[in-house]
Amino acid sequence: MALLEAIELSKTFQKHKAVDDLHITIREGEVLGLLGPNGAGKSTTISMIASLLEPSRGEILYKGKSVLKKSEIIRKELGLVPQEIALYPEFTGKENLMFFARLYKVPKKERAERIAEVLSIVGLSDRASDKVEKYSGGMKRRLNIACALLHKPKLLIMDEPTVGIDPQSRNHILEMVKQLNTKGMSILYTSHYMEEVETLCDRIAIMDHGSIIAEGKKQDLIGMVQDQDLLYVSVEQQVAGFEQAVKEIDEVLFMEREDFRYKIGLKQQAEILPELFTLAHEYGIRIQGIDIQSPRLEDVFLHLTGRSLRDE
Amino acid sequence: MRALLWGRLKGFRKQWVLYLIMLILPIVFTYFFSMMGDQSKYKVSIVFDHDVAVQEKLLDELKKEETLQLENVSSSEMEEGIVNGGYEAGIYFDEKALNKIEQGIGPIDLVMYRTKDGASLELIEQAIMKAVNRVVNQQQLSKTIIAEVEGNLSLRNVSQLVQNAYQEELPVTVQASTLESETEVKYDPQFQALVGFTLFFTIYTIIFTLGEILEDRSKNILARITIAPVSTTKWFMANFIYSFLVGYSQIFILILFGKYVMNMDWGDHLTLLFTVLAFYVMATMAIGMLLCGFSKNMQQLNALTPIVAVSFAMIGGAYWPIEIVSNEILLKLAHITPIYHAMNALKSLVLYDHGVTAILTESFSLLGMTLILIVIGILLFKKQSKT
Repeated sequence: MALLEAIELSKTFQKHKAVDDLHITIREGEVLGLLGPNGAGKSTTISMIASLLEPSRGEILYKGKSVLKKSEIIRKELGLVPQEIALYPEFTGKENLMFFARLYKVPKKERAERIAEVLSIVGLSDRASDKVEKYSGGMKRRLNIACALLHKPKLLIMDEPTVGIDPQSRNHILEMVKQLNTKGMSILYTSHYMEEVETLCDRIAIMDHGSIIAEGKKQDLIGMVQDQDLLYVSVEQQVAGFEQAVKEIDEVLFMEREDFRYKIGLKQQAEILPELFTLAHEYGIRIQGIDIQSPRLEDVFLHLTGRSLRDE
Repeated sequence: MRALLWGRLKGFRKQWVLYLIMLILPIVFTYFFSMMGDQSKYKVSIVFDHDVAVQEKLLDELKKEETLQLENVSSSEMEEGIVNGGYEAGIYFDEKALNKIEQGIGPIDLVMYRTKDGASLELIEQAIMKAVNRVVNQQQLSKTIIAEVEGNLSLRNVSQLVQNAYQEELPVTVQASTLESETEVKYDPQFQALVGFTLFFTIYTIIFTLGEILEDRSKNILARITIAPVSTTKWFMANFIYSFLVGYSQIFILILFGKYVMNMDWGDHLTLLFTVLAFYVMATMAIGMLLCGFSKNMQQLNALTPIVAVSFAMIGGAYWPIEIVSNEILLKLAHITPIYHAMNALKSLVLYDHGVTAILTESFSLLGMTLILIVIGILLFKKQSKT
């Protein structure tokens, strides 16, 4: 069942169209990943869904009711984790939580218990009395999430919650998202980190230039490039003409060079290795390593846009 | 709204140093400026063209004027002193004027010599007029008494009796309009410095505390607040209340400091005085909101605030009495500053002992300013937040 549905959503800033005719559905109990490079329009989309920004066009329905007509419908059941650290640095962790608990009207009797609970979820119980300005980047991110959980939201929107943090904190956050989801919370998770979206999300929407260019389960999306295999070839040196010669092989779909490593897209189950070795021998190139991989989401984005996510 | 206010007050510990500095600075500046006021009496030369009996009395009355440092000189000495810059001005009492003063009749025309338009000339003129008026009044009264006693007492003796009577502050007042101006400017250096600097430094406290809304926006805390079950109107209200409390408490402390430590006489209208100050804080808050509307972040507000505060203080009469400003454009511009209206109202209450009617115009000006600027500021802030 659709918890939230954005229909033909558009947002224009002066002449720049940040979001263009976007359609997205978040189902109850699922984690929907919104994947896209920086500037794709993810944060603008989130702001509109969270009723912070008025769309130029389109409609947003929460449980079938128009959010644009009555924003309270979604606000009371929404938890928002902004990309920025939306905390008061001069407050302790506990004071920040107390502020937001009061703001979200968590009943006075439940506040202490609820604060202890979210501190435990984000693993900050032992640092609750420290000032936030003394926290590490990862701890701030975790507290940033905790503040959005105080009022037990049904829908949690997380905007790039792992930007700029250490791997340990990132893993903690990813685990936390999984746990929240198993307890029934629906989550809209935006990121430009493909691995996170692959790990966490039931469904993925890929966004570029303000539009959803593909949407579906991970395997469905990968299926779009399933007819491809990827061959990574490491060489000792580069020689002019070799790359062009490889591209001329019938089974080769594309070829990219990263220093001394070639990424070659092949038709599925194509056997080009004998030909590749022959060409290498002809051009006097010594092959140091070969790796064959199945396509990933990164390749889907590359396939759809002709650009790499990381290049943005 | 209580949650928002709780958050703001809790965050005050971040700003207590600023608050303390803005409390200390007006006191320090008042101390130095009051001292400077004592030392910088206007040096004025007096020339009596003719010997009359009232001359001595006139000189005594002129010396009572605290803003003047008088020297009785000859015409040539006066001329030379003014040209050399030794005297701020020179007042020439010719025979006709002195006879009129002696007789207690007007109008009396005095001649003031000066080299250039100076900020102090109006104050000097007012002080001279006050002293001359007092003497003319006494002479008028003396004449009346002589007429009554039918020559049993000499004019000199009656005059002395009247002077003594004035010193005992008999409830006798004679409306004098013998000189050209009807208004009288009162100047108290301590009042000017304490009130002026209090109003000036409070601008910083008020605007910087209100500037927290820009921090909320840039840190996206505002986004969280917006989706919380609290309206943005309440969020604005909480910020205004917080800013008001901080600014008003600062003024309150400084007024009390003036009363109990500096022995300032705030007059008999303390309730009205604090009401005017409340209006002033609200108007300054509205200016702050307008600046927040123009600013994208706290850094921009930090840059704008000193420009606005210093300009307002200069043209609004915080640094020096507005009465000494003669430029029409500056005087018109002064009306757009809350300081101008607050200073005028406070002078009416404290220096002139006027009541509520004298401050109505200034109070309505401050309230009007508050309403208009706050609405514009909020609209600009909301517009800025959407982009």
